Amino acid sequence: MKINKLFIDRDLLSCEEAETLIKKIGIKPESVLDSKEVFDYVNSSDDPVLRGKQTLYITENQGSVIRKCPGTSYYTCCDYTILHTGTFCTMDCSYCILQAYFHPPVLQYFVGREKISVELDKLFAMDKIFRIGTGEFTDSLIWEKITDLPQFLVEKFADQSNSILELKTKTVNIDSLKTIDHNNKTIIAWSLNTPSVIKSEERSTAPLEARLEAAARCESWGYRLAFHFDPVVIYEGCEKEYESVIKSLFTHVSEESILWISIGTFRFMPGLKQTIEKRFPHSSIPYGEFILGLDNKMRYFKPLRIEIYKKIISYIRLYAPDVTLYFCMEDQEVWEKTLGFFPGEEGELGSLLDKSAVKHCNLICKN
Amino acid sequence: MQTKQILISEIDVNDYTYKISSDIDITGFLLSIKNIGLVNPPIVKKHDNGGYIIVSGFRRIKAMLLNNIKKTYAEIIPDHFPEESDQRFSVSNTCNYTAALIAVTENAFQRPLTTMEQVRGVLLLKNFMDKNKIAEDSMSIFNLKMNTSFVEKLYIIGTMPEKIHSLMEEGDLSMTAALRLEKYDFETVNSFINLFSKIKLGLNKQLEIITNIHEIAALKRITPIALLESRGIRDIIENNKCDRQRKGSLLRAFLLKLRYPRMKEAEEKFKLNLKQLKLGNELNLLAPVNFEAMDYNFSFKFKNFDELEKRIAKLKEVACNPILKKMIS
Repeated sequence: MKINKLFIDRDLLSCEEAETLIKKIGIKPESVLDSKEVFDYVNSSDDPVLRGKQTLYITENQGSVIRKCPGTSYYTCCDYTILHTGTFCTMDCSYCILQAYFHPPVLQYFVGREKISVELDKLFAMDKIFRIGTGEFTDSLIWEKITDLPQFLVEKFADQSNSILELKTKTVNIDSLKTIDHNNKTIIAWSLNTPSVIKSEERSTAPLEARLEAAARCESWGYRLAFHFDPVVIYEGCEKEYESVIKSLFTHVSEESILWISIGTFRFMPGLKQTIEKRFPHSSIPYGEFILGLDNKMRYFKPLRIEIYKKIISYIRLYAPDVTLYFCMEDQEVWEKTLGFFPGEEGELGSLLDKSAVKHCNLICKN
Repeated sequence: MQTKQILISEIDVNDYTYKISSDIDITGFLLSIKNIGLVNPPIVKKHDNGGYIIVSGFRRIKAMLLNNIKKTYAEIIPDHFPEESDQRFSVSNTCNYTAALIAVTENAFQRPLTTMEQVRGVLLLKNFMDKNKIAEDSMSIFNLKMNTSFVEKLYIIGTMPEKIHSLMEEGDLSMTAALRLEKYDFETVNSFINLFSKIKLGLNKQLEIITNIHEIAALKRITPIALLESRGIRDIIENNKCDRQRKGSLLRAFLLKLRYPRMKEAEEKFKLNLKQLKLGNELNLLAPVNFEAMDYNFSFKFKNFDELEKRIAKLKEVACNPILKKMIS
């Protein structure tokens, strides 16, 4: 998606980081006193989501730079830490929760490296393992071609020993990562899906083959990798297609480079259905056999989830018997019936993933 | 306005320009006018070609005609309002605007308007006011606070086929359900019209039917028409042995099974097992909501200690039943 409107906070006009960004984007920015003007502009469109994807707002993060992943009640969360560097995304996935999460959804790029640096240093000084990602409210690498933010973060993490940075993406924007001394503290993660889901539901994202080739390149540069089968979409013939994706994954990268693979079937806040129907009229993704889950999100009927999880897990285990697998937001029954155990204690799933991070990335925790 | 006695034959009873009221049974009117006479005179407007057209009082005039009454007092809207004319309109248009306002208000302040009457009201006023103005003045015109979006919805209904209007008048299709059909082409709308003329369901169930047909068709990659004309649906709606309500219930069940096959299968299996458990009226067993949580729920009522002991004994007996173990495993 091409940016066609650029806003910047008036007091950031002389900020060096912003200047570089503006130059690369090549659009004259409109300076604003506060976000209201930007939000009004986006909201005045018939399709605020689309306009939000074409409008970049360079601003400062007014809230917390570091946040705990919100998770939801009842379903088991992985205790992830979010590094909040921006919001929304230039790609256009039908199922993207961010369409309904932000009011209005606006592409924001947060300048202010100093603030990020200070906050990260606080975490780096703690006796605790942190898995930190920038891909929760945006894609981690959408701005890679026009900013050195990924480079800044990779270098920042390279210089400490208790945290890993996970850059989660659907792009293949990895070129600038090649020459960085990452010290094995950054993992590059891709969200994976079947080619038919990518084609029908993930507009403007990189094709599967390109993502896997990019992963292989990152692996060759010494980066550890992660993959997220999320959202798994259930449709006729999907099992075969996921099997084929997994086969292809392991022809590109080796099990040893993978810290973890997460799996999560499509789930959504009920309000998102209307947005998908309006913006993606040919998508049948919201018409699965969904029930209202205990966290008030729509989820596939549990036996269907269990069936597809069992299949995906068995395919992965064929190629990677020891890789760490986990579910994003699933319950005890699903864990037990598919993976044979349930990390039910508070922080148990987090510890499991921490162990994988410690093992693969030589993290040190005094505790 | 001036009240004057006029000949009913001077009134063009077939000019429905200002008619917003729905056609209802006027037997009561007929008798009332016959026995008591006309209480409120109708309101008419001078016709450009001479004579009069009705602005309000279609039922009254019809009742008088059927009672063979030749003359009536009527309020006459003048040709023009020289002193009060609205600057926005020409003189004759000011007159038409006034007539439109009267046509709506005269009805709206006597009784709540039906949705279709509101539709005809906004369509009539649309010639003189935009949707924002109609919404702004709705309290004084419709005796009802409308917002712009609601006025827009009434406009949309107004553009839909007359058969939709008839279904709405008959109470066979709600406004919300009708609006849900707006996105479809003419043929698809007609297929839905055919469907709703053969079944009888409440508002939420109408919406459920439309939603499920849309979603099943999308999942099967067929058109809603193809689904509506499929054997399973035809067998239900063309079954002459069932009344419209029964057909509606059968169709709902049929569509739910198509839309949520695994869920429905699980529910049916649970019901079957429950039957085999023979809990009677003493014990009640509920499955986890949507089979999502892992919590089953047993409940029972008792009036005294003796009954409590009996229920507990029954519960113990059921707990040993292998069917129950299978159900909750």
